[in-house]
Amino acid sequence: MRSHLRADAIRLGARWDVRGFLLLVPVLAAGGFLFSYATIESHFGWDPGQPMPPEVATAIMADRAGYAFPHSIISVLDNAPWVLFGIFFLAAGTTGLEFGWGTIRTALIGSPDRVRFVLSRVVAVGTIAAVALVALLAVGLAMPGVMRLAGTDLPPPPDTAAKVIVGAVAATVAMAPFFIALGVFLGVLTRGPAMPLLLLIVDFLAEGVVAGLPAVRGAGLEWLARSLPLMSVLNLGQAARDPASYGLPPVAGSPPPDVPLGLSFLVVIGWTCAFLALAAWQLRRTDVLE
Amino acid sequence: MTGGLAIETIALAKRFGAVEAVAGIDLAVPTGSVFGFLGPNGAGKTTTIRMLVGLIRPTSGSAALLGTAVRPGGVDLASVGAVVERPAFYPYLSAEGNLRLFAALHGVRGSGADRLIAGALERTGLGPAAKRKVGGFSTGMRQRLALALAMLHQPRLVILDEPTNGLDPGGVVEVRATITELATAGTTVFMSSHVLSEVEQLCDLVAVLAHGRIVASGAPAELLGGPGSLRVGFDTAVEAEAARRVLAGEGVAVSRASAEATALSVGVAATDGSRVARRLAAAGLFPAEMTPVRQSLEAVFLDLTRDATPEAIGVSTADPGHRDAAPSGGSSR
Repeated sequence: MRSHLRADAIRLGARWDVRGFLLLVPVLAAGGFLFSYATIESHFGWDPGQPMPPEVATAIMADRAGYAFPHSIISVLDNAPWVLFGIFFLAAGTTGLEFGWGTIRTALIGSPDRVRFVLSRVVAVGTIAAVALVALLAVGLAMPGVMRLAGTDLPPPPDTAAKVIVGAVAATVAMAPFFIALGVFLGVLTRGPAMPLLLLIVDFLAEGVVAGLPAVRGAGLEWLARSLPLMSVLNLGQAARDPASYGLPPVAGSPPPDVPLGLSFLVVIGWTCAFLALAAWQLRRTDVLE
Repeated sequence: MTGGLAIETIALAKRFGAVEAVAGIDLAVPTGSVFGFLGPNGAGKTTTIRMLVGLIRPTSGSAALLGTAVRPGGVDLASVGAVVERPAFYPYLSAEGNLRLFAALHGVRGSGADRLIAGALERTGLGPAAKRKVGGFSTGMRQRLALALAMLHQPRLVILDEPTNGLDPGGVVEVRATITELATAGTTVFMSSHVLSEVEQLCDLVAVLAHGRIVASGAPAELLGGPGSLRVGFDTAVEAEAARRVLAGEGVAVSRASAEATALSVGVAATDGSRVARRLAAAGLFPAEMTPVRQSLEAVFLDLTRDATPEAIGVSTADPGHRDAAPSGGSSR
């Protein structure tokens, strides 16, 4: 396995898209953080000729408070779902290109263990994902201080329990392997770098349609719809940010999560394992004709 | 599986849907030999090689490399180097980077990898291009890099799929020299090729594949066997005609050599030349020249592969979706 990992370090370490991705994550996350903070007022409508209504001012202050530490970590994660798609694309793209370039043949002649090839790719992209997530957390930790240094007075942070922040981070950490395993599986299945992205979009739409079917909603099967792969990820993200998931008072007006947080984690981990197994199975059974 | 064989296949077959690409071939490649694997496009050569290195799963039959059974995903290629079809590399890595990656897959790194990489680059003449990205390499340079990759970990068996494809004449000579060096060092070389003179020059043993079946195998000299002929030339047409009568009277097949009035084509093996010379001398006829005429491997190859047409053996036509897929058929020579 170490030899596969060393090979993947050479393969992925020299790729411009991997380097670019790791460079862009902190830059875009910080930029997105500042941009979303600067445009908070645009989310609220009032007549600009009139003084700001007190309820709007209160809402704006509440939103701004979300950018103060430690809630800033959740704000960064909320603004960076693209990082997870980037991780998916790296996993699918690097795997699919092995078939596109025919290098899968060279790689398997060098070391024929196909399961290790899959595992190594997951670990290698997982390492990239870990670096990206650490960069996101660093941005979440640093940006409130940077804004303060730049003269921006952030309101006191909301009374967010540490559990919620830890839960939101853990959910993101759990989602990364899910997208890596899904990307590697679709890369092996479609034998190219482009189709996985298309399949991801199609699957997302299909799951949305299934979740919205009256037969599903009316029969109390929402939990089933939310257990579909991409819906389970969305559900985990939502449940992890919901104070009710931790036995805390729920946010006013928000319904309780359909699937409890612990079960949400299990479903996502289950799908991750399933995609990993499918990727290994598919590569083991396939004839490499590239 | 026999210990003395570097490659052994027993009834190895591969079917793609309705098309039988390889129809149960038996190969026995002795350790230390240079084995030529001949066949026209679509004969099943690359499919066979892919099965040997575990890239595709045989439909039936078995194969063993260096005494170890081949299983897709589980084949032991630690002592095997292979180039299959067109060479494929990571275009954004340098030649050295690609070799380093391959060395890593073989569990070699550090100074050990440096030494192997330097040796492989030197042997293939790629030293000056070692730091260049492979994406900009010519076909010939890629072919050289593929050879470097196949030889990198000093394997005991090297499998080469048309190793001189795309090389300039200088490169062809270098590759042939490399193959000879490998053989001298005791490495078994299994090579497929279209270049019959190359096979004739390099290989100890040859198998000819047509439509997924081995239609002939043996030493090149055996394949070229048969009666052969002698070209016997005289100074005058009168002498030639007299000689023709003498030899025909002895029951030897003799005819005019093409349109030349002064030369005869005598249907005897080259080793029977002295007997012919003695008979002619006894009749007072002294040839100006006697040249053995060898049947070329090209002629044998065309003869063998022409005979084994799909129509002749009543099987389906080639799979349009697969390079090497072809119907089965043919018979052993």
